[in-house]
This record gives sequence, C-alpha cells and structure tokens, in this order.
Amino acid sequence: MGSTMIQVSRQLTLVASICMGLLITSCKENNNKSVPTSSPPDLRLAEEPYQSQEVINQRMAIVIPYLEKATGLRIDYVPAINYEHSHQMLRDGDVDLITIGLYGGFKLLHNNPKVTPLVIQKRSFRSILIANSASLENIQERGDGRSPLSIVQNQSVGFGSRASGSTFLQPLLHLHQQEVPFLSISECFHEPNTNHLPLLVADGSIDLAFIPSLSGDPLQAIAPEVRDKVSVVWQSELSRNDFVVTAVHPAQSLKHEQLKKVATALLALNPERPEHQRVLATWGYQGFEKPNPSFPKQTLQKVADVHASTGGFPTCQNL
Amino acid sequence: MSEPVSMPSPQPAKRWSLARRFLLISLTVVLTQSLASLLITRELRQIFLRGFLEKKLDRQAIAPLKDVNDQLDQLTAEQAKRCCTIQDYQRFLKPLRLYDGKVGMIVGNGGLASTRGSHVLFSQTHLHALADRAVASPRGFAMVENDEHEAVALKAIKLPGGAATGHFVYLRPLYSMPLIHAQMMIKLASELTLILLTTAILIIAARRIFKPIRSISRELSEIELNTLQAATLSTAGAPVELLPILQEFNQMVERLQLSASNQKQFASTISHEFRTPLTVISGFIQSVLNRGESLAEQQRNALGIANQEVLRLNRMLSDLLDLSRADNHQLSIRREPFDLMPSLEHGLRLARAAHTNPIRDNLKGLPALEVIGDPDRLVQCISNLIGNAVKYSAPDSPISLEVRPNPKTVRLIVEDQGQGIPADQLERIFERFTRAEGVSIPKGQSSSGLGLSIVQMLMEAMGGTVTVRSTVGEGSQFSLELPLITQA
Repeated sequence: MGSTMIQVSRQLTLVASICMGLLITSCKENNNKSVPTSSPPDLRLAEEPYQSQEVINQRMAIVIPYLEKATGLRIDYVPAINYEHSHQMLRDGDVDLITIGLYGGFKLLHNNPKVTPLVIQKRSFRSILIANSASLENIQERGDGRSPLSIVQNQSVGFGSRASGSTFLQPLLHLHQQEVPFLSISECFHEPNTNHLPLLVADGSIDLAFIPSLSGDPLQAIAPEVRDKVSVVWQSELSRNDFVVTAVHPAQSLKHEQLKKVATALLALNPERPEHQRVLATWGYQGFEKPNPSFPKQTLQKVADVHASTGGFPTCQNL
Repeated sequence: MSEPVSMPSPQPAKRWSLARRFLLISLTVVLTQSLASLLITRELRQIFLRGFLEKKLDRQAIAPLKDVNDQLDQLTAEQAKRCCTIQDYQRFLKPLRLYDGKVGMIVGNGGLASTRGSHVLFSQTHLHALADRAVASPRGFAMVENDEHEAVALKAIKLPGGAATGHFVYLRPLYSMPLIHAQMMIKLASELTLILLTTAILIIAARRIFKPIRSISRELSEIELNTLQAATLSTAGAPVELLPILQEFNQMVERLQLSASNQKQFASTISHEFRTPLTVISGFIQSVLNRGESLAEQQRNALGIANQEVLRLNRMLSDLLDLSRADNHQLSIRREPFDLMPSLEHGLRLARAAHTNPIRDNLKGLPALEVIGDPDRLVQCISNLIGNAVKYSAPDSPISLEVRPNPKTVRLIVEDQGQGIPADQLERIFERFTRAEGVSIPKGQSSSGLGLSIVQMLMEAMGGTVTVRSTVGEGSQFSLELPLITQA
C-alpha cells in the first residue's frame, strides 16, 4: 500500500514537473520574444566576481534595465570567472566598463593611462573583522593589545579573493598600518565569495574573517540566520573601495559619449527615490560620485607606496 | 378468489434512521479528518524535509565549493579565457575529499566531472541525470528517489563566469529516507487503526445514545387504541433531552383518555336511552298492524316500512352498544365449550326466516362438534355474515354455510355469489364505519359499516379469527375459525 502511495506521489510529482517545465519553457519563449538578441549591444559591462554568480546575475537583472532605460543604450552583462579575467576583458576590449575594488583598481589603473575611473562609490565602505561569538573571549585573550588588529595573530583568518580590494587588500593595508605582520597569522584562507566568509566563521571553520560593508552597516553582508553567531571585532573608518572604470576613448568618439551617458545614469542614482534605491541596494551603495583627487588617484598611490615598501602584497600561499 | 386477508398491516416507508445518519456523519468526519491529517502530514514533512535539507546542503556545500572557487580564483587571465574543458573541471575537483557517499560534480559546457570514488556509487549517466535535475530545479535544490527508496539530495551552485564554468553540484545520500518512509507507513497504519477504533466506539456510542429512543419506540409500538390507560410512557431514567417530549406525550394521552372515555360514555348512554323508546314504538306499530284489519293497504305499507326502519335502528344501536361495551371492557363474551350444531341450526333458522334467498348448508351428516366460544355471539356472527351476503347478492342468489372440521379447529364458511369485493378494499372492510369502495348497496338497503368490525371483535374475543377472500363479480367467502375440542 505504501509503495503504491509513493508511486502515486511520484506520478503526481512527475506531472507537476512536466507542467512546471512547460511553464518555464513558455516563459523562456516569451522572454526571448520580448528581448531581441540579434543586434550587438552598445556597451558591455563586467564586474569583479566577489559574490556568487547567482547574486551577481540577480543584481545585473536590475542594474542593466535601469542603465538601458536611463541611457537608451543596449547594454550586456558579461560574467567573469575571476578578478584577473574581468580585468583582462577590459584590457582586451571584451567589455567597456567594469566595477572593481581597490586592488583591481591598483592593478588596472596604476601607471596605466589607458584605463580611467568613470564613477566612484560614495564614502560608505568599511572593512569589518568578525569572529565566532562563541570563541570571541578566547580569541580576544590572544591579542597583544598593542593594536586592535593584533587579534589576528596566531589565528586562522579568512579573506576574500587574493585579488579582492575590499576583503584582502584593504585588510592588508590596515594590518600594515597597525604594524601587525601578515605572517603572524597562523592560518589563512581565500574565499572568493565574500558572502561565505561569515558562514565559515559561524560554523567554526575559521576563527576570524575580513568582510566588506558597503552601506555603512557592519553586518550588511551577514546572512540573518548567522548574525547571532558572529561578532564584530573591529571595523575601519568609513572610506571608499569600489568604482567603475572604463578604457580611455577619444573625447569625440561614440563610445566616449555612451560611457558618459552611463556615468550620468549612475551619478543620478538617488537613494531617496525608491526605483533608484532598488538599484543601489543590489550593491549596498549609498550612491555614486565623480572621481576626485583623493579617490581613486591618491588612494591608489598610497597602495602603490605600500606595495613598493613591502616588496609586493602577499597571499595566503605565502604562509 | 384472492388470498385471504386477516388483519391490515400497513407497509412502513423506508426512511433514514437518526442513529444511522449520526453514525454516517461521524464516520465521514473521522475519515475526512484522518485523510486530511495524512495529506497534511505528508505535505508538511516534504516542506520541512526540503527546507531542512536545502539549508543543510547550502552550508555543507560551502567547503567543497570554496576549494573549487579558490582554484578558479587562481586562474590566470589567459587560463580563464580558455576555460573550461573536462580536464579543467577534473583539476578543480581534485583537491576535494568527500566521504560517506557524498559527491562533488562540475557540469557545464566542458561536460561532467565528479570527485574521486563517485563512480563506485553512481554511473556517469546517472550522475549526469542527477546533475541536470539539480541545475534545472528551483534554487538548484533537488531530492531524487529511486524505486529502492534510495534517495539523494542535490544542490547546484553556478560557478563564477558564464556557461563555460558551469555549475558545481553537491550530492549527499539520504540514508534516513527508508526510516522516513517507515514513519509514513506507521502513521498510515495508526490512522487506519484509529479509524477502526473510532468506528467501533461510535457504533457503541450511537447504540447507547439512542437506547432511550429505541425503548420509547418499543413502548409506543405496544400501545393499542383500546388500551389508552396503559399508554403513558415512563419518564424514569429518561435523558433530559427527551423528558419534555415524554411529559408532553403523557399529558396528551391523558387528554385522549378523558376524551375517549367521554365519547364512549356518550355512545353507551345514547344507545341505551334510544332502545327503550324504539322498542315501545316498534311494539305499538306491531300492535296496530296486528289489529288493524280496517287499515287501508297504503296505511299498512307505511306502518310496515316504519316498523322495518325502527328494527334497523334498533340493530344499529345494539351494534354500537356492543362496540362501546367492548371498548370499555364491559362486554361479556364467554369462552366455554359448547355444542356447535344447535347454535348453527338456530342461526340458520333465523336467517332463513329473515331472508328470501336460498341458504344451503352441510350440517346434515356432520358429527357433533364441541368448540370453545360463546354460542349466542356465534349466532350473532353467523347472522351478520349471512345478512351481509344477502345484502350484496341478487334476491334469488344462493347463500351457503359450510362447516369444515379440522384436527384442532373448525371453520365456518359463509359464501355468496354476489358482486364481490375489490382486492384493495379487503383490508378496510373490518374497520369501523367503513364500507368497501366500488361495492354498491341495493336500493332500499343501508349499511352502518359496523357489522364486520363487530364480527371481528366477537371472534377475537372468543379466541377465533375471521378471514375473507373475494373475487369481484363472483362472490365473497367469509371464514370463521374456532378452537375445536372434540369431534364425535
């Protein structure tokens, strides 16, 4: 009898799956009809993959329609496998603009007149160090007390991608600033998906992790279900990390005009307006500003100075 | 002739019983509740199981996914642009160490690669099917079972990049699935047991609940029209819900008793008071007729008719008085042994004197028969039946009285060749003041509708019976049956 019930249940599931499949196919067909794909896009946009591809796809499903509506251009999103890949696509002209962090900016812009910043995020970035709440007391006892980040010494620490600005370079700079040697970390891991770092801390896989906060809220990147399992140990001052860069084009060129339209559309994003807030919330930004002397130029110069003085930035493989 | 009919027995219409309806509704509710419980349990289990497993897999997949992501993160720009072939997938999965049947896969444009040892448990085709199922599922989560109740949970996560990198698919066996199915079977069995138990309890409960009603029904069925004195229902031990009904019924019976008593007393008084003046009138008419040689023929006829009507009225009053006395249990009917033949001969003499129709009998040659009853009342019954037979027959139509002795009874059959009684009327002719429809009375005759009911009442009081069989156009046959004591 039980077996019969299970078979009936399976048959129902199969029918439901077929119906669902037909529905999805129908939806896909409808989507294909509504968006013509024959003509090439005016612009191609990429992003450093600091989150899962699903999250980035969801973001682009909101950002691209906004930009297309605001500029009247057809814009495509091109997924990147990793940070280097995204940078290379800009260099090769496979994409026209790319959202990057400080480390990507350092690699792409420093001493490279062919790439230029288009817009920068408003000052809302913080580098956050989190620890497992259960082992927080034990971790704090190990710090030497000379600087807040000395807590990382002899701990296992998680960073973002080895090419990430927000979750690797920024922490490196702060460690350097607080004179905490990177090599004093006992174990270190790179997790390119920054959303996974709080989960790894929560389940005890690592003691500490540097995570980004782009909206000023230190717990922005932490999933609600693990918020009570992690504690903020340290957070940096407000600063900037992300910006959009493009290849340099002649001032009278079509591409230049098109990129200007994109810059205008991004600068116009106003968190007070619900439809704009929806776009900004996909990144967690407060808005965009025009590049200024301080950012990214001076900041990148400081990065270059540290890079030169330390003989290059390490990775976890150096431990 | 149609079959003999003795007592009317109306067929009750088949109706819904209150107890059966209560039981049916209760069982429907129990059954519906059990089925709903099973379905809800099943659905909730599925929802919670899926929710729980999905979260579990989200967390469990992070560690192996981190290793794959880390490898992708280390690709040079050139390697990334060339990515990915099946060899790339295999390289990404190489550092992964998964145990307990867990499998990591990458499925994309390069094909499908899986972690070491996975092919011990699954074929490449099977893995492909599972991976495709996970990739196509909402949020990348799927639970797949085979016919042997072996189940796996799958989580597909898109790797950074386009279609070339594909999806990382994490697979873990669900070893507890047979246990979950066993739990489901236990739940089903317990529900079925519960249904059976509830059914039994409901049947017992219904029987107990409706016991007072059945008791009342039984008491009511025993009530007879002539026994209103014993018609009140007992209220002792009756449930409060029925108490007002019982009390109301008993009050109604008391009112009926009073009414019936008044009615019988009235009929008895009227009958008795009417008989004396009627006897006097009849006597004077007889006297005038006997000594009135000087009366004209017309006057003599008028007085003769008046005398006949007085006699008819007197007979009716006698009948009414008998019925009234019977209702009041004041009618004295004997049940004693007596010789049948003299009574029958007396009855025949009276009948032959009163009617012109030829009345045949088979008394000659019969042995002496001793029966139990009241000889005078038997004569009354025979007279009534022969009178009836004459009334509904032609003036010269023969009437017969036949005696048929049986081992324990004797049957007296009065038969005519009159107009007969329709079959559907046979049940009604013994009711008081009722005449059969479709039967016409000859001109100058009348019927009070009491004769046959009095015959029935007298025969039953003597311990005998009366039955009838009749065919329209051929005649009727009334049978009186009395207990036989001896046959000489």
